[in-house]
Amino acid sequence: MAKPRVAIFDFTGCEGCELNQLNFEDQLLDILAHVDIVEWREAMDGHADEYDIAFVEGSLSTPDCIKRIHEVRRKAKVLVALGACAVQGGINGVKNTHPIEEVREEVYGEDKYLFPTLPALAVSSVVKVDYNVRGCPMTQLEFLKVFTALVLGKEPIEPEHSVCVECKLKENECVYARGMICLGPVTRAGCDAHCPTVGQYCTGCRGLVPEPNLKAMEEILVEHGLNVDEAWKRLQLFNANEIEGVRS
Amino acid sequence: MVQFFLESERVTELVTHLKGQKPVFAPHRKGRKSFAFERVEDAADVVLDYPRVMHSIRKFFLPPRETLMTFDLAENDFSTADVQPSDAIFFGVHSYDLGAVHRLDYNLGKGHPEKNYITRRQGAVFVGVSFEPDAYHFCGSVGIDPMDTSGFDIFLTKLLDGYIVEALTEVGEQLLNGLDLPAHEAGKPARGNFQQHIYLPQAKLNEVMAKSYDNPVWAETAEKCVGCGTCNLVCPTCYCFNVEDTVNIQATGGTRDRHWDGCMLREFTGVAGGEVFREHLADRQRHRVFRKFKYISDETGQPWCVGCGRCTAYCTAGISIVNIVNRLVGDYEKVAVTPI
Amino acid sequence: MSTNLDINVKHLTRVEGHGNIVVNMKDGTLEKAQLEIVEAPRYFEAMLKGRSFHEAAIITSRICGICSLGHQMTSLKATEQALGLDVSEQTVLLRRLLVHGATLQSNILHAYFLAAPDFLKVGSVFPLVGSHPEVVVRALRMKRLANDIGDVVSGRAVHPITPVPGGFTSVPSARQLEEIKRRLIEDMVPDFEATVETLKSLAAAIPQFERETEYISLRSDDRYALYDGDICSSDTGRVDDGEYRKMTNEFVVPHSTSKHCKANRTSYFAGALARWNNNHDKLCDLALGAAEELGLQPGCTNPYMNTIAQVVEAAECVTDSLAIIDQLLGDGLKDELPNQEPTRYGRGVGATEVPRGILYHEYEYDRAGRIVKANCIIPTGQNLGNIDDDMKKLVPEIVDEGKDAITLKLEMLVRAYDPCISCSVHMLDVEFRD
Repeated sequence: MAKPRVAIFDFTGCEGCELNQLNFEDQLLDILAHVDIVEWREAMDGHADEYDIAFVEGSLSTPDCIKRIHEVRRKAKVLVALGACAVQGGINGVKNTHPIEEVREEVYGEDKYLFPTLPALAVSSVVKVDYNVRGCPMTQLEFLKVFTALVLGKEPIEPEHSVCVECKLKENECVYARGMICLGPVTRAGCDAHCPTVGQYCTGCRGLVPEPNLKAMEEILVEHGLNVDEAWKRLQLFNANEIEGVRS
Repeated sequence: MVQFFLESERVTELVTHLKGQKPVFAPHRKGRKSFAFERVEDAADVVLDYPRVMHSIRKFFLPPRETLMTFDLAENDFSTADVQPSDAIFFGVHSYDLGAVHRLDYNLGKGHPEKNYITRRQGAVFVGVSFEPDAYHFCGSVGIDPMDTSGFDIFLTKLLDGYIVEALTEVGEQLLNGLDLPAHEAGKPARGNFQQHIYLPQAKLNEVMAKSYDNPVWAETAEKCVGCGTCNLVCPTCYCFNVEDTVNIQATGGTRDRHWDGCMLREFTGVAGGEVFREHLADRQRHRVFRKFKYISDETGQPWCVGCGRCTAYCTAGISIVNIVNRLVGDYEKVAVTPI
Repeated sequence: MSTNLDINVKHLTRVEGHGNIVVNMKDGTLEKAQLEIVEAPRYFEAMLKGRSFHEAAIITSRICGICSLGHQMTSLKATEQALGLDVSEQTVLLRRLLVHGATLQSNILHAYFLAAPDFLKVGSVFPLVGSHPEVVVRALRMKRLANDIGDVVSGRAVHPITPVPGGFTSVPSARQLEEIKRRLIEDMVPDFEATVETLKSLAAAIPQFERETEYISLRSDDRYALYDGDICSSDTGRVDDGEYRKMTNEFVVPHSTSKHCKANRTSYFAGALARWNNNHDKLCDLALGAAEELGLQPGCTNPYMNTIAQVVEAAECVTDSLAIIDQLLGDGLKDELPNQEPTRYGRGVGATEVPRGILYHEYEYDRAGRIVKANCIIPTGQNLGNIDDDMKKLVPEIVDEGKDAITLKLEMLVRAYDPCISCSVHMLDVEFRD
């Protein structure tokens, strides 16, 4: 069996997901044994004309990004979105919650019309994405699962249940019981409830569960001390694009 | 049975005495305000005065996650997990949680008996403790008293300055041997009052539930519900699970694991081909409540809810199973007394 | 001999973020020598507007995956100053330990994965897996331990979780810290010594190039300044970190989506070499020994030596981490609640030495604890002007070496600064293509 040819690309983001790949100190050599990495700007020189699997990090936020992602899609048999920015727009989407004129004015003042900008988009809103590795940064555990499945030619399974499920499986004290708020009830699992396990609230980085009941979530947040505006701000942190669709 | 008196200060001594004979699992502080059953390392860490633990002792017989087998892809071989009897003392158990274990014994023992559960159940010794009902307990309404000693080997009834200790089985008596405790003569204290009640006993609830399939309470509850699944996962009589295979990064082998699952989760009712049987949260809420008060109850005559109050206490949306059931009772009675 | 030169390295590899090197020489006259920053802008300052103080560090750590810990620490300090949130001594110790872990991690990543391939004349670290396996395994082991400090103390090395305004959501156990200590002593110290040996054998590959410039870093009387200190210039001495605007003077250049900075000259150097030049008197013996082995002298003006300065200060991170762990274990770890009750509102500034230089965050909060205005000045942005000035001096000096050699030396120069371009493009989107 020929080794799959893998390429890794970054768009608008912090490159923390790629760094996370370099942080697989224990598994890096095993991963490299299974694949040929043919293009990865952050770690190596060189370019390739086609690849079996393309991993894409970052959201799309400039005309150049849109051009490049089409090129990646053309050359890739399988395209995997890595991390919150690529999967759902991530934290870049917060930009989209402000009127774009206001954002540009804040930054450029009177010169705002000189500089074009696009809303930060999920990769899937421009080209077809085959699989997701969610999280900010991407969940290493999930990357390994998706990676292994692809190498074995299996379909990776994407969890649809909430972070609460994983939190309960670990019998963590509920973040609400600690007097804080938490987005775990409407956030997709797969991280093993990492943040609540270390005492921090879930910020929703892995995206919303399918068909989230956001009205009910708003009520929970308000019941636990946030005002309505702040409740939606917290929900938007990593999911502005999706929330915008639900609220408008 | 003879009753002894144990001063509060001597609880540690009792735990140490038991720990010398078998491993002891008991409630410990967990986090800032919570409690959990853990194996006792230091008897002084045991907390007997607690409202509830997130997971009942079910977790020792049906663990949240367990490996069922490991497989070797190169050799095309597998081996099942080595499951051992628990052979341990579960100390400081509330009556409703033992009631829940007895219900699990029924569910997991009939049909295709659940081997791992049954094996782990062996050698389990139960030491109960009475409790003061809080804002969520309603086990009195499902026939379980806070001082109900049935099924326990030893039971501790809380007094102001200590506990009445009763050995209820031979095993219990033997475990207490060698511990010098004064006899208790004064009888038992009055039980505390419940703040939460279901208005009808199960015999009547059967009729109510039979008429409740289309009740609007399901849709109304679904409006408040985010479908996080917490109510299922903390329920001591829930036993549904999912099984997944994981292959290691070298692609040489892997494990088959199972973990708790819950009927409030959309994936749970999904089947091959993409069909989802209970698409709406309202359908899933109804199913959850019917699993506790109808489906198995029709078969056994018993409520399959033990009144621990967990599903309500841990629900961030504030959904109360007692309110749902009482609403069904109210609607049923309204219809029942309405002249034709 | 060619007097016309046209170099255009698009999307330079093995740096964090997107940048192009552009050099034009016509008839012996250098027309252009600059690092163009083409990273997409992210508008973080605009994003922060209106957000709760609980979210400021969560958002700003996402400016950069490599520097997420540095952004988080700096953000927390700015927020705490603005809102009057005092933190405990334990919190400061844990944060200093985190800064050491992150610096160690980043410096090792840079030396082994991003810079070493140039010294060995290969395109990436991957060929080294076959040719120098023991070196790669050592690098991974060192990085793993540095990351484990982050994982244990902050919940996760990339985008840390537990550090929040006023403290930590949870603290590591004594057992975890003891294990880190054991591995620092048993693994890291010998691995560090082996790293110095390896680098010594490659030292000849470091280009000789000198350009005197202004060196700006934090400086503290107590220790080698990383977590906090005054701003110190090699030209003009120390000022309070609240005065950071005077020392940075951000300005726009047309060839970069990142702003440039200057203090007393046209540009200045921030980062490990600046820290070395300003603070070498505060280093531990392990670090000073490594500096001597590797030929790093006080007052060094060769920017390529920045990589060596990073390795040298890694030793300080190891030594001080051990001291901090001993103090934490001696005092006993306390499960403290973070102090999140603001006592005032207004403006706050945080300044931290992160691997690439001083990072500044400044926030203004309203009465409700929401951000009104935010400003972040990133080390790579501070270095961009200095990189351009280096290139302008370097290209004429090496113009006879041929295009390939010149290109390699320019790439190595940029990589020596370990630029973090995602970080630096936090704000501006400037079209520069004609």
